[in-house]
Amino acid sequence: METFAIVRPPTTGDLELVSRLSKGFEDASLGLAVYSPSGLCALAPEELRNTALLVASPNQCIETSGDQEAFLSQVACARRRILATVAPVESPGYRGRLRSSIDFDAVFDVGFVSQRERHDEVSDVPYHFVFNGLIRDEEPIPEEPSHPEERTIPWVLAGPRSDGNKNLLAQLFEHEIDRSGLCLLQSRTRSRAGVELLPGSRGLLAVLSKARYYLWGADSDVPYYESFRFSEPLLAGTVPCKVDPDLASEGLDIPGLYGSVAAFRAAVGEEGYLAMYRRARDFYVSSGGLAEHLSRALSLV
Amino acid sequence: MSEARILQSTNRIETGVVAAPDLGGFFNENKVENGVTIFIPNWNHRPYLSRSIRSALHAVERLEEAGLSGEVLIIDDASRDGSQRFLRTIRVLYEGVPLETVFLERNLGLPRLRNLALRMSRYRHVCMLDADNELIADNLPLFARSIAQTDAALVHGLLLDKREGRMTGIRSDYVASMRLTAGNYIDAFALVDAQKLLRVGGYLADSRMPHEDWEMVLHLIAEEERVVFVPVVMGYYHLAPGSMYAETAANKGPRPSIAAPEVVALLRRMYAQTGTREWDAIKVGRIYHPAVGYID
Repeated sequence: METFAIVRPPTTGDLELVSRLSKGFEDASLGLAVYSPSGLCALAPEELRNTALLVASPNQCIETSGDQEAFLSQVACARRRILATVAPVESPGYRGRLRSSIDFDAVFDVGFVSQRERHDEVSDVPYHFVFNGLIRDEEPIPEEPSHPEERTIPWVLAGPRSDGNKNLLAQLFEHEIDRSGLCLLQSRTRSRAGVELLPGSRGLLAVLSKARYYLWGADSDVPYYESFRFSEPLLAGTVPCKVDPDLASEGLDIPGLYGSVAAFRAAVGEEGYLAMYRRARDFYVSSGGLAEHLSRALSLV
Repeated sequence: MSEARILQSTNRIETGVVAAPDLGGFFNENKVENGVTIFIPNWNHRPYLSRSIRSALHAVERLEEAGLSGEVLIIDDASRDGSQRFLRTIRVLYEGVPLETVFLERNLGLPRLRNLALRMSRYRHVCMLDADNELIADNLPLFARSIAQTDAALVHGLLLDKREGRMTGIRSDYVASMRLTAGNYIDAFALVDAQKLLRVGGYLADSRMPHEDWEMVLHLIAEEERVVFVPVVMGYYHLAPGSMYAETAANKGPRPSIAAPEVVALLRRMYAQTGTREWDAIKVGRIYHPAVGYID
């Protein structure tokens, strides 16, 4: 009988993806062992013979393994090697992962939109799209957000301090959207002392519980929807909204995706917060759970 | 200049608004709570005054709508560009609004001007608005509530850089940390508690230290006063060729974080003698929003 395992770098890399996949496996009642690269090296090779091994952030795994040769040899012992990724195909990270020294049998791309065609242009490794759906811990998502009248923060703009997010902030002010929104744009340079210069995840959650809309712009030139930014605000009762002209022009069926601040403002005016929340919730709830999508992808490898 | 000399210099104040020329009439020892004095220092910024004053007067309206009160205090630091004439006209046009204008005969310089404003402000909380910058009027009540609720000495919000009408950057957008000993990232455009700042000696007027705002933040931290970041936009920081920013850039380097080496050395001598303070993980600033409370 095949077993499942995932190896990930100890402190960096796609740790949020690993956490999410672990929940997906748990929901699907599939046992999943999680290893650090050195932990994987410590296993007897025969322990991996019947294992489908998912690898997150492979290059960082190799670098932090302590013994690259031993690590690659262990990975090669697995029955199947699956690259788990959450990134645009065109990003250097995606291509770098595929170019790692691991011979992958499949790619699991976790997100809201399949990138199959774009993947096929850059790699021969079989591609499987895994919809980043609901997990059991998130259920039930309320049909109505709690205490909408207490949500006095009109919007929260959060994310990296990218040109896209800075442009979005500028547009919010140019279009005279309620100016009392919160702006939390994180520089890629962190405090030397490791002091958090902006609120951490708990602080952000507290803010989201008092806010109506969670906004972000494009993080790069590549059109891509960051599905991992969707569920946390939604669970806090905030409507996730991305403003990205390039992505919006692709006609995707994701609620809260706008081509401009003017389009966002029009939606707020015409639909309103409660209707926009319901639309986002219905999309997420009706798209199926992560466990279901993960099981289907595993059956296809 | 000594404090005594500063006080003497205020004897030279003339104003068309304040009738009594004596010092006692200018200083407000008993500050009023639940309001904000918006202080605009002016030195040859006539072209920009209408923008900053307009935003300040709108902010006073917003304060009043929020059940608070406010005033605009403009001190002209012996301008030569006709600012006084312009300000007198404004004063006549806006008769009946809480707008105070003071004209100095001799230039005091920005730090002393700020200290004078701290003494003269009617309200305990003072918004430091440079003459070429612009307040987001709607948001001032939120900052006023924040400083009152946190009892902070200084509350800062985000500032949006604007050049030729377009937003070009963001500043004052992180909470205070000991990284400030290596470079400044909190602008003077902030809300301060006049009493607390005066109690710790006010802004440092020292020709060796042209970054009195940077020094003040470090001083407040050293005095264990609260410095609070509210992640909401406080105003626009207009970048124009002859603006205060441009003067700062010309005189002190483009950003305080890359200030002249002797200035950095002096500040580090004062606040980071061990040479390692920027690595210190101690929490010195807090993040706050009235709807949520502390969010750090």
